[in-house]
Amino acid sequence: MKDTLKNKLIQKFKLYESSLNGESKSNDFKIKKNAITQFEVLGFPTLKHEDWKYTNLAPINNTDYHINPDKVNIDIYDIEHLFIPNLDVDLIVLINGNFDESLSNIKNNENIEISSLIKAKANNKNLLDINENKHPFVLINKSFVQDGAYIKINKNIRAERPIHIVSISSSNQPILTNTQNYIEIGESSEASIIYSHYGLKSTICLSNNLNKIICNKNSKLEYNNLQIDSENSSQVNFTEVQQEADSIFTDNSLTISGKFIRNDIKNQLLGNNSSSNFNGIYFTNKKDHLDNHSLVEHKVPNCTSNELYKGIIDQRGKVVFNGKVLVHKNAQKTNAYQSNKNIILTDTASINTKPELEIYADDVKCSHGTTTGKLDEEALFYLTQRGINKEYAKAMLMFTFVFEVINKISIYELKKFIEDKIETKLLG
Amino acid sequence: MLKIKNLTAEVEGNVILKGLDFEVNPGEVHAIMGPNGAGKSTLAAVIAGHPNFKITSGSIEYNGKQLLEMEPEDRAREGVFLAFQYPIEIPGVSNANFMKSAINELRKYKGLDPLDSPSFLKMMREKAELVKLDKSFLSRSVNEGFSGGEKKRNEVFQMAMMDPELIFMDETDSGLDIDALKVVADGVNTIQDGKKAFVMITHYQRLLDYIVPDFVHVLADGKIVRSGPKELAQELEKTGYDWIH
Repeated sequence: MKDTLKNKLIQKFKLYESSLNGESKSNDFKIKKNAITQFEVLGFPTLKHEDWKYTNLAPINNTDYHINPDKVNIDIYDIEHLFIPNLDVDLIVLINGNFDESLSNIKNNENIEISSLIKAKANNKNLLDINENKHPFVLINKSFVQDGAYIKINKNIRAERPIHIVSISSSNQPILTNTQNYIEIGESSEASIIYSHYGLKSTICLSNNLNKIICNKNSKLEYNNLQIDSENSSQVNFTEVQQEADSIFTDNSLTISGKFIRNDIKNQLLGNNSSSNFNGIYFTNKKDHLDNHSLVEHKVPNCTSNELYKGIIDQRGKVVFNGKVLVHKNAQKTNAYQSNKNIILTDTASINTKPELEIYADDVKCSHGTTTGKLDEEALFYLTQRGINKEYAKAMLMFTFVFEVINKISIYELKKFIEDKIETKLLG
Repeated sequence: MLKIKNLTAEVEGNVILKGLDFEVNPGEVHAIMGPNGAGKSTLAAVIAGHPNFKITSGSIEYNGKQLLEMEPEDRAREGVFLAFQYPIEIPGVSNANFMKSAINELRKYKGLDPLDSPSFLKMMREKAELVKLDKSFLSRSVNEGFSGGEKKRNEVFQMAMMDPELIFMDETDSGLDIDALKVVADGVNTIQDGKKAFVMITHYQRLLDYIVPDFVHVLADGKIVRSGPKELAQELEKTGYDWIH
């Protein structure tokens, strides 16, 4: 009988543990051990768990994944389509969870440290712990982390180029990879990051990715979660962010395709006058499943958070949205706005949306709302009355629906890239 | 050009047009007036092919073709144009791109190659000037943030671009001040080449001072109950519609 993923993970860790000598005393191992122990206790959540109510993990638990595969050689031509045209970036390439030096392209810069996570650990870089200790995939990631990117921007630096982390999965058998990216933006610095994962040639894969992001005082970071993945590819992304005073963090979640995607963002506003922006668009069709969960915690006064997710669901696509704003008692003068808007094109498409506000302070401005509807028939008629054929007119309207969010992407070339991909998806 | 016979149409179960007859020949300018709810806008919507309206009897012949068998896109490509009473905003689609798509679809339908960008730009600038819209409007999103007058002028701009044969104007004058009205009327009069047919749906006689009709009709209770020359509009201005019953 096939073993579940949960059991395979526990067995694999036991094997690993027994192969260690002195390393079992290290802090690194303690973190791993605590995580797998916790995972063993909690296991994969069922549909009875509120945070996983609409996202069934049984299929994943029943897939025979090869855990933490080795790197393989891949042809650059196979991944060219993942790069943003005309955009000069610092490029980090991960293959099957392993850092690939030859395909990466990191430019020398004394103020911006970019390396593999393993190298950063070897160089004894000070890495803050990951606070999350309940999310099943974070626990798995903490125990099984392979490699990832380490990005540290010094104080008062405006990074000239975006940093693009490209994570590839390529295998003949189903694989589970565990990557971690550690990103720290120094005081008064600015940077933008793009992250994308792709399963090559219909690889059956589950990319378990964990981001730890620290925005120091007065810093500005735009993180673009670019999800144009292949038909058998699944992703779980957990992004833990902490912001100090006067900082601005923007997460653009851009989901164009992928079989099963679960995104979690947990953002803590720890310093006054900081602001957080979560923007998202999605186009979910076929039988694809997308679950976007986010939590922004206002722990101090005078902070602002904005969340706007807009998407289109077609065929048998299924989308889950859960955006939560938690305002602590002393977080006075908080401004928190949240909105999720959906267009559904078929009777079999579905959206489960839950915006949540949990407010303990009394001098705040908060709002949340969600809409779900069909394409505007009057607008469709207007376009067809000018001779534009129905399919093209629908595509135009769907594009205009998400346009408001796409416009928030600050990297011009990325904006164009996404517009192209959307056009192809809508008309193709 | 247009022959409507015994047209009955309903929306959401309500019968609005009740056996309407109406004919339009090339080059003619018609005005359709009448009380609220009579079916004036419904008539325009039915001609243009709005999907919410159900035709339960009657026929519409347009240039020898059965209009009711044609999709709205094809009616448009055959030269039917509706200037909307409430033009829609389309953020993210520029006026230029909107017209470019429409014009190229039209040309494709006629077996022509798409228009090249410089010719297209020239054409747009010309037509924009016709309705005194600044060429900067071309890069703005369709009707987004436009005043009522600008939206109506955009309708006439699109009319000029599409070069249609049968034009229905649904309460184009509503909400316009006299200056905007003059610009709209000037635009329409410039487009009129003696072969196009215009059907103006209007409440007020004011527009008809500027776009002079050949025929004025009164649509009441879903049918055309009276027709006459342009003087009829002035008469209606004085008498109102009480006389109908």
